[in-house]
Amino acid sequence: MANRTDLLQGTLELLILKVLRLGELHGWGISKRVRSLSNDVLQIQQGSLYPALYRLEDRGLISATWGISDEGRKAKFYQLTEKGRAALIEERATWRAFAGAVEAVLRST
Amino acid sequence: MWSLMRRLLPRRDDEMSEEMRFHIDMEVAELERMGMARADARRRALATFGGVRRYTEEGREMRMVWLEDLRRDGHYAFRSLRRARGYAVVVVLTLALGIAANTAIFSVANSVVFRQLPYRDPSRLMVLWDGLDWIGVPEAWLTASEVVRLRERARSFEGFAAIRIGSVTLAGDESAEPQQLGENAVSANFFQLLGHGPDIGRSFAHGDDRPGAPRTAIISRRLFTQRFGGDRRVIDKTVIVDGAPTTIIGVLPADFHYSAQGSVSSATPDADMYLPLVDTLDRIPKGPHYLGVLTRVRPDVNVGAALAELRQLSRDLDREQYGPHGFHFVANVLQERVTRAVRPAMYALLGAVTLLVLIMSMNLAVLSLARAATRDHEVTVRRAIGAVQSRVIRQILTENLLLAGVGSALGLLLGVWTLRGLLALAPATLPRRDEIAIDARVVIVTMAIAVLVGMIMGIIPAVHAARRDIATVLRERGGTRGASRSRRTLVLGQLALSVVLLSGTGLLLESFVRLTHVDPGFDPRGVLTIDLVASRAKYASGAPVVAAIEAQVGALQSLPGVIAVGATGATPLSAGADQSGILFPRSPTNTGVRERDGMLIDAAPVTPGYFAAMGIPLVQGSDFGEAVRDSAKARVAIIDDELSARYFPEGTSVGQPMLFDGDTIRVVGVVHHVHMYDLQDKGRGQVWVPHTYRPYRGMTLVLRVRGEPTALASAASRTIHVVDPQQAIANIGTMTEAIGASLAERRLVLTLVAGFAIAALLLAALGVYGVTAASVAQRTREFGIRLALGADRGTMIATVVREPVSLVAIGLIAGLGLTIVGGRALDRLLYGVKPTDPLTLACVTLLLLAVALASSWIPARRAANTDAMIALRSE
Repeated sequence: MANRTDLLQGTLELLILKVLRLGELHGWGISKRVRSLSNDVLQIQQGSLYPALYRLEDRGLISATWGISDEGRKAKFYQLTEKGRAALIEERATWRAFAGAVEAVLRST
Repeated sequence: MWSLMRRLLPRRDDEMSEEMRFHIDMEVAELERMGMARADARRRALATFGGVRRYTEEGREMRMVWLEDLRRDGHYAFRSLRRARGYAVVVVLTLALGIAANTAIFSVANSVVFRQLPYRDPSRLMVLWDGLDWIGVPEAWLTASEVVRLRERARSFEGFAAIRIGSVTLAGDESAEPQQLGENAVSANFFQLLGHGPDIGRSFAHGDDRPGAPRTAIISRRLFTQRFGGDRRVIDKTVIVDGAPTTIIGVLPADFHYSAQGSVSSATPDADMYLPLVDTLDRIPKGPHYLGVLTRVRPDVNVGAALAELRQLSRDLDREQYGPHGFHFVANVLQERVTRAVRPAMYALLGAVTLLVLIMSMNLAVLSLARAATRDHEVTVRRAIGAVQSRVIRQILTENLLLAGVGSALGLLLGVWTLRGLLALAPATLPRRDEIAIDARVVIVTMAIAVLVGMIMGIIPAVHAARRDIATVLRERGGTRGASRSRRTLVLGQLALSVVLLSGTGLLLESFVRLTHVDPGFDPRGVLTIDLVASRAKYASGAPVVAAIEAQVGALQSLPGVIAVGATGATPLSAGADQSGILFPRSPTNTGVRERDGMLIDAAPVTPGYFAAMGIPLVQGSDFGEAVRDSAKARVAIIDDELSARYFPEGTSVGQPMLFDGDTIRVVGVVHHVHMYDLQDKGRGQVWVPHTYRPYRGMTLVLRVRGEPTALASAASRTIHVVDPQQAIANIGTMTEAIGASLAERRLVLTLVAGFAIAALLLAALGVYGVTAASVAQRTREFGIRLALGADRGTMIATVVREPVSLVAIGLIAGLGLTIVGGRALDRLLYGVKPTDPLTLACVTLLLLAVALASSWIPARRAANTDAMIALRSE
């Protein structure tokens, strides 16, 4: 299960929130969007994706509805809730502070 | 219920699978678009996903939908148990029997020992005794002046109620015979201190115990129903008690119990009548020790401070009156005091039943381990396809908890019946006997045990199943090394605990046998005893009382079938004697120090002929003759052989003067010592004086008869009523019954512990059989080869039996160790044996070895008879 820590703890959720801000998506769409936005660098393991989605849903940051996909199949779509929007802003700030701090340390040598 | 829960719970599981399938299909489509063949694309998609099932499980773990899991696990357990009905039945029945035994024993212990007495704030209620250790009496009644002094000086207590145990005659009327009743004369504040009293009518009021106050009485529920037919109009009715008109003012509830226990004797039965103890205590300057005292620590004072105050008062009293000898008040919390006598037996039974339940759970764990082995494959496959470890454990646990639940519920039901049977066997002297019932606490404890047993039998196999390496299981067939090690450990535990139970039984049995062989000092066969009290109304104290008893003795003498008749103030094993101080001024063993030369002994009056009737051998001198009828010539005594040997080692006691409670009388004879209290203790030395010297009202007529004594009972009571139609007969019994009663509690404890031990032995034997059979089954191939190579059957049997024997050997060592360490808990129940008794331990060792050999014999025979060809072919 080591592969699941590829993404830093919490980063996955941030990415999900971020891509959902652009509009509702189903699980596969989320993973595809992340992959393409990161130029194929970030690959979300599906095994991490769905637990993370359910976690976010349970926390009320995203909501889900069943709809029809572009291909005409039944699929579950996730949307960002108001709470999720607020969380995204906060998480993004936290991430930037964190990334900046790491960068500062790395630059210091 | 399941279907209801299914409707209530969201079926997210299905949703999840669908979502996953959608994901995979999309991935496949994508890969296909990139030019991959459909089959390859699908394989690749599945590989990256890692198995749908796994993430379904994972998702669920995250969500903690535990209720849903419970429902599924329960359903799963139910289904798989239906497939293993035999296993389920054995487990449920074993559990039910164990729980039933536990429920019954715990109910008794709970009601008798643990449950609070039904008094207000019972932890502050105390009974007081005089500690007169320097004369060998650690707990004596208080004197009147001590009660007065406590009332005057002690500040930490709400009050002091004095209680005097007695007996009264309730006169007969047109509808009832005269009755002799147990009576407690109590201070007016007695019920108020207890915080429990009459529920019909009223309690004693302040002043009801003043001299000259109108005579009032409170009666027991038993008397109320039996004598007065439960008619509430009995309140304010006037009855004749000891010849005096007395008004009944109250009736006690059925749950009212109070026994002002004697300083040595065991619990006295509940009194049927409470009378005010006429408060003339301050006029008895320095009286005898005859009062029980009940007190209550004030709510604003802590118990420790109250005890400290008592100690200070003790020191003052010691200095001023006793002079100093280390006199002290002994204060017992009432609850503790009431249950003191039965506690060792109760704890022994609780311990035994706990051991049994432990052994039983180990047995069930072995069974469940065996079941797990047959399911190894199933479990492993489920894990291989992605079942999470904790879920596998939980499923096994759920199954076992389900069984434990059903077994315990059944056990609780069975326990109700077991308890009824147990109560039928329980001695009547068991305190609070009629309160014994299954209450909420019993149910809670039973449930806790059920969960615990379910855990014990579930966890070991569960841990095994979860820890198993998937690959190994799939490669292996049959049993596994780890499981058989656990099983061996469990059987070892069973053996060790069985040894403890067996040894305990052995020790109790040996104590019992020794007790039945104790010489009680009299010949109990063919002795009828009749308790009489010469009515206060009819006979004035002194000579008239003696004459009344003499008249009865004389009349009974002429009854056909009667060999000898006498009367005594205290029959053996009755604890009915009084305590007196004696001193032999001319004893050669005297040191000149009064405290060392004097002794406190048991004394009681007897009529001439008593020793012959009771079968107490005369050792020296003679019985009281006709001469003692003249009270001037009654200043004589017969002492027992122990006193004679202690004071006159050369056998010269007859004719010696003796200081008896300060009065000088002369020894005329020596009789055999009798057991006054129980078979276990010899008790104090004994002095018998003529009835004319101490004219007691309450005497026991003793008849030695030809044949069965009870056959003469009705003829004897008719004779008594011919002499005095108003004479109440309190009790008719035999001395054989008295001996039986003094052994009743032990017999019950022994029977129960023996029952538990036999059950434990059977379970352990099953365990040994199981281990041996399993190891034989695993080694069938090996045995086949060895037989084919020419090994003889004897060697084969020895090989197989070696394992159980070594198991038993280790179990024995552990068990015997436990017995020797834990045997001290049995100390108060043992008589003449120590927990290290070599005979008992040797017998247990032999018994266990025999059982082990017997139970491993069948599998050993099977091994020896293995057909080499079949064994090899089966590979």
